[in-house]
Amino acid sequence: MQESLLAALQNILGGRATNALGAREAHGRSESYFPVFLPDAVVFPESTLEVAEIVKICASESVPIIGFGAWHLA
Amino acid sequence: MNAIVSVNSEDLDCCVQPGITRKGLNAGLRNRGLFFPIDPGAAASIGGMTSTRASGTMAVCYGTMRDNVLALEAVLADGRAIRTGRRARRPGGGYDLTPLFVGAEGTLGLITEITLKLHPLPEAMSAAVCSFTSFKGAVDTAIAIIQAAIPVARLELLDEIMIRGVNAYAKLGAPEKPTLFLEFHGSVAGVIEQAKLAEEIAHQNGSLSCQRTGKPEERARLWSARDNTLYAGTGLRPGSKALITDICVPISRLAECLAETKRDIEMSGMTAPIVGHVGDGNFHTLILANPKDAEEIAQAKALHGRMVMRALACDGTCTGEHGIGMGKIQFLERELGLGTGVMRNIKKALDPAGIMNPGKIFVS
Repeated sequence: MQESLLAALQNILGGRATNALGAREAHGRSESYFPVFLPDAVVFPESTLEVAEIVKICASESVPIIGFGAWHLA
Repeated sequence: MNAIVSVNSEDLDCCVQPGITRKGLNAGLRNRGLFFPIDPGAAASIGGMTSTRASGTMAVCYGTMRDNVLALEAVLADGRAIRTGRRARRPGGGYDLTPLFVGAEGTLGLITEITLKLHPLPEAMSAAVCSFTSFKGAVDTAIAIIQAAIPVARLELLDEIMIRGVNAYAKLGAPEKPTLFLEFHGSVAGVIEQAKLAEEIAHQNGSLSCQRTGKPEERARLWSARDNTLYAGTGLRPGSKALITDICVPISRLAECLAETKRDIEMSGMTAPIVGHVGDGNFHTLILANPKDAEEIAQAKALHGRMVMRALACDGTCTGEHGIGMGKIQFLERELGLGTGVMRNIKKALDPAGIMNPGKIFVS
């Protein structure tokens, strides 16, 4: 991911957009047998408006977006 | 984004943000005499449950997420935020977009708000645990209970291997036999009547014992044991990961499908406990494999593939509730044929650049 993209995300989200390894690892795994797949960055939006802004920024660079739930299954 | 936006008690619905867990939602509803019954075990988020079209243990009585999402808000790949409906109980006119996003696994957009149906807390709840001499007896009991239209709230099958895991993990102390966990919701007299009818059917199918309980703490212990079957299962083989299968067949085909699956597992020499939402014809096997052993993973995948072919031959599906993700992509086309092509058309129309959760449902 380009630095400018992360900067654009941080511009609207501040510290809620991060490329810290810990956050990437926590959001790159599941309880399945699949290997860990690290995202380039993790964002924590707090409103629909923020989600829309994030999507527009990512779409402008064709960066994939993957929603992340509570990491659980039964 | 884990707030309860609004609760409309008189309409039996609520609006939530996607990050709230089902447990968090139910804690917030406690003083209103209402609850949200869809229970996939664990503290899953409502957004995740919507995106995967979760079902779980109470779907046999209350339906799946598809039946309980009235409307939702989603942000599309171009940044548009849309609402798929209002709070009316009927979906309104035109194409019904709500169920399109329910179970889309995040491939069409990001769900940002969900309007859910709620249900009144039943006056009485009771549970029962029935052990059987034979696997077939347990399965036949489950099928007969559904065909007799006893309105069970939960109807779960655990084979003797799963029970061994649950006993070790949750100290359940159940006989190591094929077992049904049941729950009944209704009036005080109603749940007793339901339980009696179910026990009668179990007895006719060779049940060893049926332990009934109305005590909330005992019910909680039972369902917590059920909720933790993934960990109980992998605990049977430390260091293993589970390839979880999820086939679902019409109830009349369940007995043959389960019997053949169990035989196949035994022949394969792999450890794969069975736990099923059998009231809906849906069951999981947890195929335990060492994730670092490519040959074992291949063996597990082959076993999974045979299960799916069996399910399709019974007019069933490769997934009752977990979705396609990456692990079942190869089965979807076989299951739906040209229908999969229409799904691709929809995906292309809504996400032409393919940025929404790529590589899931289809190969991208």
